[in-house]
Amino acid sequence: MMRRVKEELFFSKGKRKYLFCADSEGVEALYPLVRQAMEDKAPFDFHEIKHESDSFLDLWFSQQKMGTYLYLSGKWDFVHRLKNLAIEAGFTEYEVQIKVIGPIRKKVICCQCHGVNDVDEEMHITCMHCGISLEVSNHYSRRLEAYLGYSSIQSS
Amino acid sequence: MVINDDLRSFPFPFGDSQVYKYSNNATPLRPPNAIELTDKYIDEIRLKRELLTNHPERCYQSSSQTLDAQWEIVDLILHNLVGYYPDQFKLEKKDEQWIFTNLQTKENIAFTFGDRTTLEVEPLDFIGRHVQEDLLLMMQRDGDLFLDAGQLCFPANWSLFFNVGMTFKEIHSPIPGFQSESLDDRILQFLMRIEAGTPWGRKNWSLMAGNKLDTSLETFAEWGQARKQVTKENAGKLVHLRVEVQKLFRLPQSNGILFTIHSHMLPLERFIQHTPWLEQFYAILHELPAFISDYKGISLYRQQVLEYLVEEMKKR
Repeated sequence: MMRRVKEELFFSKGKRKYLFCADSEGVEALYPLVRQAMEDKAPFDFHEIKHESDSFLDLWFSQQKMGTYLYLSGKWDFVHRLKNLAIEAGFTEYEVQIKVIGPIRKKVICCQCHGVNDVDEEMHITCMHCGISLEVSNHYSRRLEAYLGYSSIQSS
Repeated sequence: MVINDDLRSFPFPFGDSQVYKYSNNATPLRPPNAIELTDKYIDEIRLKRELLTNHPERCYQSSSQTLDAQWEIVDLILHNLVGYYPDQFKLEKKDEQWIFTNLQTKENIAFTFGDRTTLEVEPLDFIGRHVQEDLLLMMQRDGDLFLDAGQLCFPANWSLFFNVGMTFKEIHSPIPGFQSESLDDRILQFLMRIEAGTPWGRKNWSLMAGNKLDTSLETFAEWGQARKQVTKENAGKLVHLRVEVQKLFRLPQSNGILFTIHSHMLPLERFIQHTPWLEQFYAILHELPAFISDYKGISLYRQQVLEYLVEEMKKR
């Protein structure tokens, strides 16, 4: 799930099949999990994604059967794109684990003006559109692909 | 003691209880009317329409697949209005040609039922402009409920713009403790089992510093300031008990759920005129767990309100 991107991946036992998907920088983080899948004799696919098109990936995700479990590892933009394709193809948030290599760039919606702010990992920001102070929350909208930033009355 | 109209029409939110806890406190709705008119009707309708004009993104959201369900809501609410308030609303129907008359606003609206182009705004937006309630539409699919459309002018510090499209659990995820003992899941399962013709109702309460109905998340930086101004001396006038009467209707054709919220406000000094209510309210507020008090936005001035209530109890 997106709010857990900085946590370590863990092996989710007993799934029907595993998909491991990484960019060149994310491959290494998946090796321990692949080893566990092999030890469990569980079916799996391993793909290092290079220039595959959205339509190819969509087809690949769509052909997976119910109960397939997906691991994504790589830079923020990469895992974000792959996660959206997987969700569109029918995966739920509970069937995907994500590891982000490098900086997180999440979007935060200003509660006052609805403006979008790009944020790394800071918890307090100033809205670049209306200037209000915002506290970044865990409240996430899949429609907006963004977290909600709350204003406070304490400081003003 | 004189009981004025504002007190008589105010929905008492506490039942018999002396403590507050999260629960599914819905009961079968009798009479099964989605809408209630109070003597503030004209003022609140005017305020709603102003907000919708000035802040359309904040007050109205819909996804394109909701039009059929929106027409079902128009059908349900118009028939409730003319059925329960026949001297204030009229409806003439010839096949799909409908003429709706609102005698309070002195409006006549003719439209073709089911034809979006015959209304100036979407059907849900249209009917919401004739009732004091906020109207939310949840659609059911994939074993879940999604907030797919809504007209929301009087939110208690939340954002329709941000929440539209979310599942029931996603919407409620910021509420502390709401997931404990799977309460969120049990309420979701309850909602998904609601049947057409058997609507449900519940009440929810909070305190507000100030008397604004339009306490949107978007304007919190303005209206939230009043929380800092509460004192033991002014609490009776400044602090208001806010009660949401919430109703749930299954829409039989689209299988959606209509969720109506009627928000009532009363200054504390009016509410506590009745001594048993004063004592009960003191007990509940005194025992309110800190995490609920935080979530309801009461913590900053709870102590001042409690002191005010103690003083009032001494006078009785």
